[in-house]
Amino acid sequence: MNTAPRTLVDAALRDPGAFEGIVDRHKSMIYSLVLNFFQNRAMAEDISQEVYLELYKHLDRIQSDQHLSFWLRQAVTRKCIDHARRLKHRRYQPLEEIVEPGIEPVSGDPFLAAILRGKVAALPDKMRMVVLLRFQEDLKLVEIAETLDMPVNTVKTTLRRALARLREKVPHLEAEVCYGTART
Amino acid sequence: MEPLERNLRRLLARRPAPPGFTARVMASLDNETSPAKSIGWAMVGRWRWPMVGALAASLAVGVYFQQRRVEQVAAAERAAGQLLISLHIAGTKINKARQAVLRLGGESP
Repeated sequence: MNTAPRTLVDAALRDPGAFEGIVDRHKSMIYSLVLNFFQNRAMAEDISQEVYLELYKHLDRIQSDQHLSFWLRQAVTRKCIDHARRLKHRRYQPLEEIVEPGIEPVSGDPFLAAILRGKVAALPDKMRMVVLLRFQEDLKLVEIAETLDMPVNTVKTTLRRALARLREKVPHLEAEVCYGTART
Repeated sequence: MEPLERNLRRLLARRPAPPGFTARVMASLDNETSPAKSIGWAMVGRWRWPMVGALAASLAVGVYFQQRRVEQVAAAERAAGQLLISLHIAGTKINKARQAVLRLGGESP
């Protein structure tokens, strides 16, 4: 029997207004994952809203507050990868979906930050998501594997390859770069 | 930790959602679940199983009548074949009878 606490979900099931608490608690994680994946604020907001809508429809399936975080993370990663796949099949790109240069103000070396951001954006979709889950969410390899439904060894290899690619493309990043973004 | 990894952590750190984000999400949920927008789909959802049942029934009736028609056509073709055979047999018998009659007529004085 599952005895994990489900306070947030139970509250939201009793009172739809309490869903706001769930949105507030996880919005930074969801919004940042999409923003870091597409580097586009409008898309970040749209896809985040889609994720919350999906959660709202399937709230009764959530088993615990911990499961809620996992479910949201999995939903947002799937949506990002699906959306990226759809974008590739499109012949044109709407203006609002073009990658925004310098989506965040930087206080350190903006040039190097922009280079690294560009290199991360150029990684293949799944590889980019592995990097985001590792360095944005600070997840362990096992957790990334569960989220992306991949074997742990594949995650390990993917991450190693991603870092190798970034390292070979940005060799001068050995110097410390201050990006001026803080975890909230 | 390597400089690259440290830099990635800084670059990809979580950022706050824009102001009014939660309110916009809640508004989108209200719009999505409002009866005005979803009434068509709600009706479809309510009548889904009766519609499926009606569709299945009409399909079954259609298949039954089609099958009956096929059987009737086959029976008609069989009957036509038998009729042709009967006509052929009758024609042969009449021909034989005619020849017998002619033979008898030729033998008589």
